[in-house]
Amino acid sequence: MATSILDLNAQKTAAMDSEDLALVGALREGLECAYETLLLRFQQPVYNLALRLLNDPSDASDVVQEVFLKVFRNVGHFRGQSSLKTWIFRIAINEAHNQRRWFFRHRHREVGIEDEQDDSRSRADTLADSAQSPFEYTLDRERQAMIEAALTRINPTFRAAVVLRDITDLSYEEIAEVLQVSLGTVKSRILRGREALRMELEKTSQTQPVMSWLPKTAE
Amino acid sequence: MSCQTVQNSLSEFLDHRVAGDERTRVALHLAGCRECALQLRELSELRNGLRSLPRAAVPDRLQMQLQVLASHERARWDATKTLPRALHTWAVNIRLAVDNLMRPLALPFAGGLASAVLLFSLLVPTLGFRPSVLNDVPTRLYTAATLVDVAPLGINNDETVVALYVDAKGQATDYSVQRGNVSPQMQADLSKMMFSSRFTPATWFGQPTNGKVLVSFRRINYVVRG
Repeated sequence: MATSILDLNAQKTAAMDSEDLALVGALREGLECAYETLLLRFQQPVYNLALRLLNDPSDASDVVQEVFLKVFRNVGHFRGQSSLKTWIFRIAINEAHNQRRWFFRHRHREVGIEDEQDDSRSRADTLADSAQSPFEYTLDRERQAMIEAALTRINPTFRAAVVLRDITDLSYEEIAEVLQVSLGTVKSRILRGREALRMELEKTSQTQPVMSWLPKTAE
Repeated sequence: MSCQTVQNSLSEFLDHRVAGDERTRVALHLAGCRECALQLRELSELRNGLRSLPRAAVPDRLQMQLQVLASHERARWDATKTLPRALHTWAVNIRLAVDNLMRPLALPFAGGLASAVLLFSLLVPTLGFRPSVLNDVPTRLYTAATLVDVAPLGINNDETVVALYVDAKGQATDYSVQRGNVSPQMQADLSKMMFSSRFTPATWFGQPTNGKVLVSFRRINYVVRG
């Protein structure tokens, strides 16, 4: 059973490789459509990853631009030893790490005067899903907000592993390539990250329950 | 299998990283241990919660910035693909730099030139020379005295040059011989000539003043044959 799963992954990886190679070849040729394809394929996952790691839309946007600048300029040096996705994600992880370091050096004492608006969410995102009742929707939003908040509080090293596994949906091997660590370290980081996240959520739910729903008689 | 061992492998169990007999052993333990089963359920809910987090939409502004970035990088790559293109790009860049440097000067320069042409064209009519009038007083610094009319004389010397001194009224007052010999007869003739000839006096800033006229006498022989 496990072998078949691994085989499927291997086939998928091989297919991705040929697609990646074609895209990299087109980028090296300077074809306009290749640039567009690369952006269409990776801008959303890279932005999502950066946003989850940094928890700031503005910083995430900066990181995404840096990532694509590096990708465009260094695609000639891409040797194809890893998939294009893991190569780009590795750059994104490094850039996010640099951005976090820069933040702690320079900006942690700054106080913004702008409204803290998350412009990454469109109006459509704020509308209730027709499949859910308003209560379910609100409950989901509360849970999501709690998970997002807990995610920002755990160790950035574990957070990166958990985000890559559970949000970006990379395999353990891909995560090992992205983070440039051994498979054992990846397993350990995911385990400890999830455990830390679970503890944070437990702490939060003890201090402020997700939502209380106590039926009362109308007065 | 101890609870600690199972709990350490729950994360991988959830991700289907545990296979074969080990997976069976963990599953059997979970079926009999409520605490471990609860932890697995919590981990599973946590993972589902993480997976259900909304995918952040890329802001429109970032999308536009990325398109611009891609366009710039492609143009940059295209410009340096071959040597002639690279040279052409450098030439274009240099031309652009010069253009950018000169453009701020272009308007002031053109304005200055246009105003200079305009002013010159306005001044041209005033620069034209007026037609000279016969009785006009010359405004030059100094004009020499001139001989207007010479009285007929019977001077027989070969060649004589005489300086006549003319006063402000245009009358010769004296003379001196510059070249040649003057006979007593010629002296008498010269005195007559001085009084009967007419002169224009010399001027100094337009005012008549004393001056000098050089007069040369030369005998001309006409030989008639036949």
